[in-house]
Amino acid sequence: MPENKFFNILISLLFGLTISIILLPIILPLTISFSSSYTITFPPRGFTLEWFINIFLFKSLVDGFKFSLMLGIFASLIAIAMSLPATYAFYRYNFKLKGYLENLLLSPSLTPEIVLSFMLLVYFKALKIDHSFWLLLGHVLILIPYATRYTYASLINLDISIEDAAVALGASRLKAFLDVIAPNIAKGLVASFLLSFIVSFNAFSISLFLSYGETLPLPIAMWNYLQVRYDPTIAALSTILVIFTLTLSLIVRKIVELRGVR
Amino acid sequence: MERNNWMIAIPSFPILFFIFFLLFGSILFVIFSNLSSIKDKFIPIFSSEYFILSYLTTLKIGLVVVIVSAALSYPLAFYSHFYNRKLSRVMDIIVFIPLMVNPLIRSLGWMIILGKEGLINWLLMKLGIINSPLRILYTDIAVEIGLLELFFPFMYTAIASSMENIPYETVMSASSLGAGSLRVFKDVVFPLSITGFMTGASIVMVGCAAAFVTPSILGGMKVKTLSIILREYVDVTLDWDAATIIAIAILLTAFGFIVGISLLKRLLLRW
Amino acid sequence: MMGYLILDGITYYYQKDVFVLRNLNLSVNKGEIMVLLGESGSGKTTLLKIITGFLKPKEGRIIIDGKDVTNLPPNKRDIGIVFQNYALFPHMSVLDNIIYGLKIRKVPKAEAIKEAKELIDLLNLSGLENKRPSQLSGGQQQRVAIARALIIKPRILLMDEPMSNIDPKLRSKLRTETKKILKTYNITTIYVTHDQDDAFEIGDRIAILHVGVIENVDTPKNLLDNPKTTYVASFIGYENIIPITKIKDILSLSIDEHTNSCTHVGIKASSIKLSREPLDSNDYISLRGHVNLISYKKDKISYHISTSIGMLEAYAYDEFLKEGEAVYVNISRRSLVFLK
Repeated sequence: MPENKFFNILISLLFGLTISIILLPIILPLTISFSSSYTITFPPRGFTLEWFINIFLFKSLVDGFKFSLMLGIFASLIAIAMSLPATYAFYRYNFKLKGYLENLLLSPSLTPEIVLSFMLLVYFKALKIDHSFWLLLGHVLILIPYATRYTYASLINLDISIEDAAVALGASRLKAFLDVIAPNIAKGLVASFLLSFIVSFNAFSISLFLSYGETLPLPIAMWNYLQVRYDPTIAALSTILVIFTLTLSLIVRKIVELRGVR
Repeated sequence: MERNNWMIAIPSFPILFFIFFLLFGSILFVIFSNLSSIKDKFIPIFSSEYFILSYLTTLKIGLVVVIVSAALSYPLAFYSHFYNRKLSRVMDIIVFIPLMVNPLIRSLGWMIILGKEGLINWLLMKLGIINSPLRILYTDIAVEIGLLELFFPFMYTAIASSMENIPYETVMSASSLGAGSLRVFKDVVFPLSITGFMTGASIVMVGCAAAFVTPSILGGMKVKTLSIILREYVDVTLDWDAATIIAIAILLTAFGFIVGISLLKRLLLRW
Repeated sequence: MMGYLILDGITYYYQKDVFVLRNLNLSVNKGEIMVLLGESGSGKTTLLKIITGFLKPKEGRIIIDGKDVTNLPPNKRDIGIVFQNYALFPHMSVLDNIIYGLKIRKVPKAEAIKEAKELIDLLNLSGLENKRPSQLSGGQQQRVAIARALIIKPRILLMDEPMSNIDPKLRSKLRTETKKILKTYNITTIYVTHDQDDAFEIGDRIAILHVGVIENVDTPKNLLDNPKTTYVASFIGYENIIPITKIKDILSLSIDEHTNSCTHVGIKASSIKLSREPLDSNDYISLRGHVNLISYKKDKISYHISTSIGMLEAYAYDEFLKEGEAVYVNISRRSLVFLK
């Protein structure tokens, strides 16, 4: 549809503005991480890699990274393991309350995270649940909507009769599931896992309230760092993290595209 | 396969129980177990200047973010859906990226941009527009900008998908009857995509009320949103009763928004 | 070039070799209803978008009433469009839909409503003014779409498959009514369709579009009697299309310039008489053949006869032949058409 010049210019400006707003905050820390000045100033002066090395001098940051990694992997695995039977049941069968139950699976994402974190804190304390489980339980809860999303989407694209076909050919229900359903949703599962991991790795509010003891997840450790220091170390760490999470999300996107799953 | 037999739902029981137990259990527990002690604190807290100020601040910031994100999203969504499909795909990718990056890192980025020695001040001074650095960081505006970046993808997606429901022929009709692009937007596209805008608005408002990292970093000690106060009561003053009340306030506000907007949507559909 | 709407050399392609429209020429007279008849894939959607201005042709011009409008945006061309799915504004009432074009032209509301009322009465839409499009039937929606387009007194009206969403039983009646309205207002109309019945009932002239080119433009009667190309002939229903090489000697025709460039001959099944003995007449060519296949149609019997010039289809109204029987095929000389 042909359009006039004024409109074109306006759109280009808006587009430029939007891109800047979205991308600048991600790119800036990258540029600062190489600056040789001792505080964060713009524009960055000099070039040095010392900040990257400096990261390793801070136990909280290094341990935080390892901790968040483990937490993310475990929480995602548990979330997926729990949600898989449910999504499979939803996909396979139509039963009366299905609509409500589907929405229930999404409910953790509807509650404001900070409120949920506080509520869980009070709850866990009152129930005298062991401190070491708090963070794990909280993360699993908020991951559930993400764990189900891609799995459910890839299941929906599957024709339920292929399982029946396998059974008719002699396979037991379980074998039919393993041979026919599982391979087809493998990609969806991997995407769900990665997505959940990214969400867990980046999660803040829930970690803020439910952490206990010495080891803190990385986002909290970084936040604490920022309360007292403002030097390019944190920028360097951000650079590493951005590369890390963007790589993971590109993988997710690739998987999703390949499968044609939305 | 149709089975109305509830036994089929059994595999989903563990996870549903998990959600019920933790999510609903915690909310109900917190509210009702402390009911006696917090009952009397509602009025003093809700009427305190501290609370009212932060509530208004939260609302104001949310409103600003809703309006600005819609103002940005609408033209871009309109243009990319009806004029330039290639832009659609670019926007999809651009909009997906920030969701993957830690809000902490993004807030750091904004600190670098908005700080006294940051990008904007450097640029403005270099161009000679100002002589001494502006104070942008630690103001409402900084928080609004940070939250705008955070929530723009949601608003854009909501508006863009509602535009996809408008058949191209409808736009062509308006155009052939004499309407220029602006008129087409005002008379046809905007009215028909309003539900999308409302969905986006509710997501953004609720999100802004609940956001913590961005307002705390970009607002410093100066800008207090509800979530910041909540955390203060939990970690700093250790007044958990007050914290409960704030949490309830946030929940009620979020709930009110969601219900209010879906009612509005239903009204609009009827009309 | 004479003509109210002139399409001059319209060409459109996606890449260098993928032509959608190829050097298309068409001239439509004022007040005429020109039907663009073509199957899906013929390029008619692209042509429609080019005429209305939503697509720019790679080559060629569009001229309306003497003015070259090729570079005009769609909202300045004064072309009324009625879409296949009507594309009514769902959030506006019937009345608001109709007066929209006048609103844009800053016509005072009272006057606009007055004009709208005229069309509403004419199109049998009285009483529906305040309803929403979703509350109307398909036929009513179509009439609203027509009213909306006509009220701006467009120079050209373009109708895109308007009958495709209408119940087949109602189509004939609607066609007559639509034609009546178009003729009352004497609007130059381009009516795009793939349905032959539509085309032949409504069109003053029909342009047959095939793979991006207009193969034939003529009145319905002439198209039936004198199709110009094999595609048109078979599209229109000529059952027998024989390569001219096979039939040349038998016909012992005088070769003139026209027949020389033609590649096929078309014979309608209805121009063939079947008989047990050859008809002794100069008006007919008689060929001997065998009945190959008999199929039963609603009101006649179709015989496929194999002859020396190929398989021919002919009709009869009673069953007097059996499969395998010998029979004489008598082709009326006058009915032969020469095709490219």
